[in-house]
Amino acid sequence: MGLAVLIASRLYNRKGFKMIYEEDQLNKLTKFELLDIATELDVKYRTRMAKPLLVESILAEIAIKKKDFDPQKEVILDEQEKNRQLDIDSAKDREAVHASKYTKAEPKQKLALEVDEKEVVAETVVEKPVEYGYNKFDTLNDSVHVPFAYGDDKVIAMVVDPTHIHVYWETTQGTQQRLLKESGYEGSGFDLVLKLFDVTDIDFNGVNAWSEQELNVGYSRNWYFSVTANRSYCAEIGMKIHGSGKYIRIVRSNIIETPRDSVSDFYDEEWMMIDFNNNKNIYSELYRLSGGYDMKRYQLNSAFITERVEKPYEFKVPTVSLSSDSLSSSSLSSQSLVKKQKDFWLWVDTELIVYGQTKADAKELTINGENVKLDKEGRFRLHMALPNGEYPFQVRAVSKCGDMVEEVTPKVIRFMEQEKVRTKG
Amino acid sequence: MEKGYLALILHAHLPYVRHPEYASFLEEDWFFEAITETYIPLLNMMDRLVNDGVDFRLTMSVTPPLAGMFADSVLQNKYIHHIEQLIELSDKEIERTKYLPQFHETAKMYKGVFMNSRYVFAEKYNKNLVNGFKYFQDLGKLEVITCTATHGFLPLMENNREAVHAQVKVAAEDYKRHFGRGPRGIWLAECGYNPGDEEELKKAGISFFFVDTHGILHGNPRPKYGVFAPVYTRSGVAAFGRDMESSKSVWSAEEGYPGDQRYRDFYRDIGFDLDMEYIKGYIHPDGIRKHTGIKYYKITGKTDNKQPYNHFEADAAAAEHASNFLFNREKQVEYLYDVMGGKKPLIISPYDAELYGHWWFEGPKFLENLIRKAYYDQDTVRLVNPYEYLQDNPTNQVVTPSMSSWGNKGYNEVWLEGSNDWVYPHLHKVADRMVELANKFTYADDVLRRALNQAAREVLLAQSSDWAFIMKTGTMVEYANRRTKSHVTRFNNLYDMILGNCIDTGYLADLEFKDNIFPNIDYTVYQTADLTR
Repeated sequence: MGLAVLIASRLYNRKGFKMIYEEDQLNKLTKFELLDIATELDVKYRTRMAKPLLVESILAEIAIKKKDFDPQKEVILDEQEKNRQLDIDSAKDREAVHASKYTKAEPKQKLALEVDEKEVVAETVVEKPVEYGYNKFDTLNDSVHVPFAYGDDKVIAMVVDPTHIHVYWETTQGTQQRLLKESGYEGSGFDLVLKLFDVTDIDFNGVNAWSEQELNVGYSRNWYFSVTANRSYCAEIGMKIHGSGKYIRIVRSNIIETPRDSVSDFYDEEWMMIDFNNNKNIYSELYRLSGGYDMKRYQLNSAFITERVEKPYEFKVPTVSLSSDSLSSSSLSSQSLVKKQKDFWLWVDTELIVYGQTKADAKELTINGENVKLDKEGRFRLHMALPNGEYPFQVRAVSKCGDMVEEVTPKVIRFMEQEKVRTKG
Repeated sequence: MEKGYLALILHAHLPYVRHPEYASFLEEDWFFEAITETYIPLLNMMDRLVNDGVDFRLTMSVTPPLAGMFADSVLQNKYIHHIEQLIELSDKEIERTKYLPQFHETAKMYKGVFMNSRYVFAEKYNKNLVNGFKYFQDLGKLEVITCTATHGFLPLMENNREAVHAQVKVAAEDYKRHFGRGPRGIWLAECGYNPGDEEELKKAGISFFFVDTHGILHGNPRPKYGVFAPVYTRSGVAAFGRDMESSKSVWSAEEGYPGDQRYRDFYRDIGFDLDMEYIKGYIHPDGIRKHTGIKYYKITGKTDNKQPYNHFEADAAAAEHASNFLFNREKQVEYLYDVMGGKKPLIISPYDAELYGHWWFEGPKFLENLIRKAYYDQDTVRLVNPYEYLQDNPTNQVVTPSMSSWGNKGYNEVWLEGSNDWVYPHLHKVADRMVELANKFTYADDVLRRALNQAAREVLLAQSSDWAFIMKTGTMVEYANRRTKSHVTRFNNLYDMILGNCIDTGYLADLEFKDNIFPNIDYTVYQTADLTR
């Protein structure tokens, strides 16, 4: 009998339940004890059964009713939950990628010369918004003043995560004074206090909360609280009168529910069918699946399960040969947004500019045989990167009528020790 | 016959950044870069697949702000200018690198990319890339889904149901404008879900949405198959959960493909590397250096001594990784098929679309290889779209998913912490005021209607989760602060004008010109009656 009670009280407790489930343990019980359990579980034809059959029926009934021993469910859910725990960090990677959308993504090293930047900023004309009347409301200028407060009495609670919530509030002097007057405390000093109530599964009436936290808020306007997952909370702002300690409520917040942070213990299965082809979004059938899987059909090799759980990424083994360092943990670090920089570094490169001027109406100007465009004053400019070596640049200008030709050939030698240089693109 | 399904989900989104009042605006580059590096390469990929007779399924969100930017003529013309500048720069680069064979080939590749982008954008799709996405959707290969109207993060909006309602309904209406029918699915911004949100989806005629893994795993009652089968919420809207394993191989910094040393490095860009005199015509006119998109190095390894990029080598890496990814999915599906007792598992692999191409330059090639191999080389895994899966598998378990998001740590912390918690009193207040206005003016016309509609636009724009995200991750923070404050201020100005019966039509016209998202918006979406209807 005691055992049956144990079952009833631990129906939703997996560890306790599994202990009872053990076939060996059931076999040790007397037939009367087994009958008690069978009655508890409402096993059909239990009185007519011999002991071995009774044990088997109890086992089957437990599996059907609670599906706690449905191996398929346990494997799938446990495994996914474990993988999820392992995976939590990857959200940070997603955040980094996501952030790359919005950033001008400054390089990790400042590569340009400071002097260079300043000169340009000084001489470039700063882009001005197009003039059309309402410039003072331009995005970058009309945003300076948002109200500090809106003159409300309100408290709003928001969920941060399963174990944290955020509360902000605003109250007005007018309301405070009115409430003081109404309760006969006009002119009394008071502290503003914030109360946080656990109101899980109750119709909150101000006094029946499961628990209550109180905070003297002073001048703060918002607060983060540590709370418990899968509970409901409600916050309230009020005044605590100096001396008497009397509490006067000002206003109460919305009720919020923190999400659970584990797999639900509630097994009830309900299934729904929606006919998308004909009667979109209308339930054509709503039924409960009584459950009951043929246990043997899904019997899994438990060693296999264990291995799967311990090595959740087992089937990551690549078919194609990936060079080991291509997926090494270090390989992505150069892409990570936060990166520790070396204390000191130097890199040097050279680029060549060939420039000059000829008569603005010249017919053509070529460098090493290729046409180069002249600006309206006849200036030209060619910018290039060179590897080590010796380079002649034959610059040749032809006059408007083609009767005069001028030619100059500067020669440039570049030499830099290769191992020291990082050639710039 | 297949043993399971794979659904590739790409979430394409950028916040509405459009500044007609400036000739050049740094943050508009987010959009231009994504067009050249992600959206056009994906369209080109689908084009090649269709031409080669490869049957494929791909699901992609095109968020309402992104669709709005695609369709906006100011941004269209700015993009053409942008790509023409890049073509000019790539010409100079070909010249400059003439003596450096290790870079010259890459310079020529960029010119090809830019020339193609110009053609595809301006001529093939007539400046509006929505035309491209719609084309592949109409062919039945691509399923375009929507997103909350301005990428509003629903879990932090819960205290105002009308605001949640408007984020969903405005998105669904806007989708019809672009795609000619209602959306079947929605990508909730950041996968942010709070139980009850599905009611709004149902009202908008949406059949499915996505949650992060633990949204399903921690659902109630216990989900029988975990994330390997969708669940129905009580209202009948299906929820699909992210598979971690397939995600990880692409996203992970430790094990992910994009970290391969042969791939192109994201950070080394000539916009930062080259001499100012040479590059100044191609960066911000104020002389602020920025990415040009021309990058010559490969990741190389854990070193600052980067080696030149070789796109042939990188393409080979993309093909290898696609084989590896597919092989792993086959093994995963075979294993799950057995464990699930003969039920075909569904693997949901969602990614930021901009991961492909923008961050991981070779990403679109990886995807194309993957799709081709899945089609030609095996029968174990079949590519599927969520809606198609539901048609084939109409019976699913009823589970209420748990509140969750795909942000760091899985909940709301990214969007609600020290750097950005100041925005919520304002966001909640403007939403409450908008509901107040909508309820007060059950009917409005002319200037009053215009003012109310504009007020609704300002509320929605302020609610973009991007601003809080940027404040948290610490890049371009000033811009995000200003955008939040300016939409709040603009709303509050309109609110005072409307209630004071003194609408300044010049001011209103100016806001309509600048914040022109959702041209067909109807402010009555904020009426409490519209929520409960």
